[in-house]
Amino acid sequence: MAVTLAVPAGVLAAAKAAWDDAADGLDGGWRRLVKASSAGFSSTVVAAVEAFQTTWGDELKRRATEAQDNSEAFVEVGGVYQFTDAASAERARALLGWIHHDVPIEVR
Amino acid sequence: MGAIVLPGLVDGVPALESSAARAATFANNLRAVTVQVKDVQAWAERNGVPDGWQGDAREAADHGTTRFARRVDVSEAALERAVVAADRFEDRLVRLGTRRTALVERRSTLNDDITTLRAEIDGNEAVEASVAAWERRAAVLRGRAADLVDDIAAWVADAAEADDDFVRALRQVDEVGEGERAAQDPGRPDSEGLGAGFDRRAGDPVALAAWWRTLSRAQRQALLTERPHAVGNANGIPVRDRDEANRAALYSDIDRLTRKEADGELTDEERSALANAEVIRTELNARLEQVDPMTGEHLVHVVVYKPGEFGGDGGVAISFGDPDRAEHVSVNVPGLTSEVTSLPGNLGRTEALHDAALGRTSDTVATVFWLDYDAPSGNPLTSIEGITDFGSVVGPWSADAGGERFSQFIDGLRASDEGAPAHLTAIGHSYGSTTVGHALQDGLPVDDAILLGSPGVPEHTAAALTGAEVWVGAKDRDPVSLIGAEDGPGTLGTDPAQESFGATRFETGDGSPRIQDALDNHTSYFTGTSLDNLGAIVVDQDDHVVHDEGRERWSEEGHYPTLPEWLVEGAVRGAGEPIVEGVREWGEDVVDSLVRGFGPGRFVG
Repeated sequence: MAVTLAVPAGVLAAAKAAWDDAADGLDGGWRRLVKASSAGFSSTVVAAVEAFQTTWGDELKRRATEAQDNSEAFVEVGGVYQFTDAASAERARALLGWIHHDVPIEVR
Repeated sequence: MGAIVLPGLVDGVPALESSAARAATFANNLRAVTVQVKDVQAWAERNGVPDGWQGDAREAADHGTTRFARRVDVSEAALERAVVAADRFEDRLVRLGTRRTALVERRSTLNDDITTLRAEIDGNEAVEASVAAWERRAAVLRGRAADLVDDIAAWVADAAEADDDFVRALRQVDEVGEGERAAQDPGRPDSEGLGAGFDRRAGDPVALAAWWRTLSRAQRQALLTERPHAVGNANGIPVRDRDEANRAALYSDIDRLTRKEADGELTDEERSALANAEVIRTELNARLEQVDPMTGEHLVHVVVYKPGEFGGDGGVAISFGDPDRAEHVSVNVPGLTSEVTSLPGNLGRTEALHDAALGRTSDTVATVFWLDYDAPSGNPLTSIEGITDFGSVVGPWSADAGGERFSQFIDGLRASDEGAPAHLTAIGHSYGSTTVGHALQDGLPVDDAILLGSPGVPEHTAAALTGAEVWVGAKDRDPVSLIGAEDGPGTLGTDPAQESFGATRFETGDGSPRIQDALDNHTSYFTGTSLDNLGAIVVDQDDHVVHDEGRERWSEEGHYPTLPEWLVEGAVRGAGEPIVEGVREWGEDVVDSLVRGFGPGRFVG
């Protein structure tokens, strides 16, 4: 039994693309952060900079992965977005803008 | 006779372990990361539960986009703290570097003085009078040495403190839990409120500059990473802050557009923007280690960054030196064919002017290259296609619109200027001189204006154009400079090199008589004697400028050719050399184009 959300397909496609963009943005962020050189700093500063880079590089990477997972929650098959069950549809609905927070879940 | 006690030579001043230039680079990277994180966070927040929502709390708490926005906000808060810390660290290192330079100089002078006195004592007989004098001098040296040793010790302590403060600030947010607390900190800058304050004053450089000065470092950094393009291009914001915002925008744009390119999702407009951004980055990277000898800060500032502007040509302004603190500031406006991809040559000329000006004075100097208008793209001096374009673009419209934008830019520099108002010189080359001319006509607040290779300006006399002192550089074999002459074909206005215009014409050389060298003649004002004269004008050394005679009327026997005469003469002289057919056609076509486009019969035959 496949289910879907009662919104135009374009809304779901746009949400998928937006989460994808968010993943890309955070991906670019953590990569630039961890690559930022600490050359030219004293040894005590280097240690502090590297600790900061590690913590927040890792955190941004986790958020990038989360955003990518959210994008992949929207599965399009043959031009139709559908979900395997009500739970996955609810999860996808929570990943839409708040304006869509109460759209019905429909059985196809 | 008592003993003379000379102080020992003072030990060297230790080097700074952390460098200001590297701190600046690190801070720029942090800002670019912050921009990208803020973009994502702002998107998620816009799509999350709205502020003040009164409905089901559990439903709101379960909303995935809202939860995501809060999680990303934790990273954002930590990055904000780190940016502020890095910015402060950079400033302190700059000041420490300046102090160190002064200490090194004092030490050198003092040790020389000690050595000199020791040699004098060792080489002369000790009689009572001389011993007394030596002892007095030794006492002064002992005092100077003690002061210097104390000052070096204080400097070493301050350097260590700068490092320690930066380390402490980073350690306060180097765990995710600390980022969570930073996100909830009631003292965190309110980006939304700051943005509203900015919007209310944008377009009014004086009001914006005054407001900006009231903001804390944290508030300024929050706003310039929240809205880097807007802040970086806002007239009235201090140039140092514009530079930080623009670099953040530049690097984050490159990251974003490079990813889109890899995904095959780049539009044509984005492709142009990426290409422009990469050109700017290359130019900045080539000058990464250059330090302003006057301030100790990095030399180059990005004052305008608009990679997608003007149909993909892009807009940019880059300064050598800090215009807000320099005593002499020049801004040069390029003309035909100028776009961001032509930045390398234009920046080289601006840099050459900076060097030439600094070589003449111990005052502070900033030279700015400004390209934030839609400069005509076609160049009649390089191709037949350019001539076709030339006919369509050589009108005053772009110069008029560009002049207005240039005026706004200069207003911004005046508003963000620190201390006594700078001696300000506007320089226009080629069509850029026409652009500057339109700005002058509208009251551009500069002290001097230099018109180079000008195809015309919109008034018949310098006095009608502006109250500023007007200087003209025009090679007699620069064909563009012949367009605006009294009997010439141009529609851009008057040739300012004419005697009747009333400007001061300075020596530039006449240029080569061969037609193949037409482009060189038009583009070589930033070299040789011409450059020397430009440097003198920029630093207000008018007495050092070598003058040339103004051009006389065409109807008389003048010392320079008319445009068609020059073209014919140039083709003949060039024929002795290998000359491509295209160049010959070029000479013929340019005459045709000018005659057809600007009124048959206006040429002197």
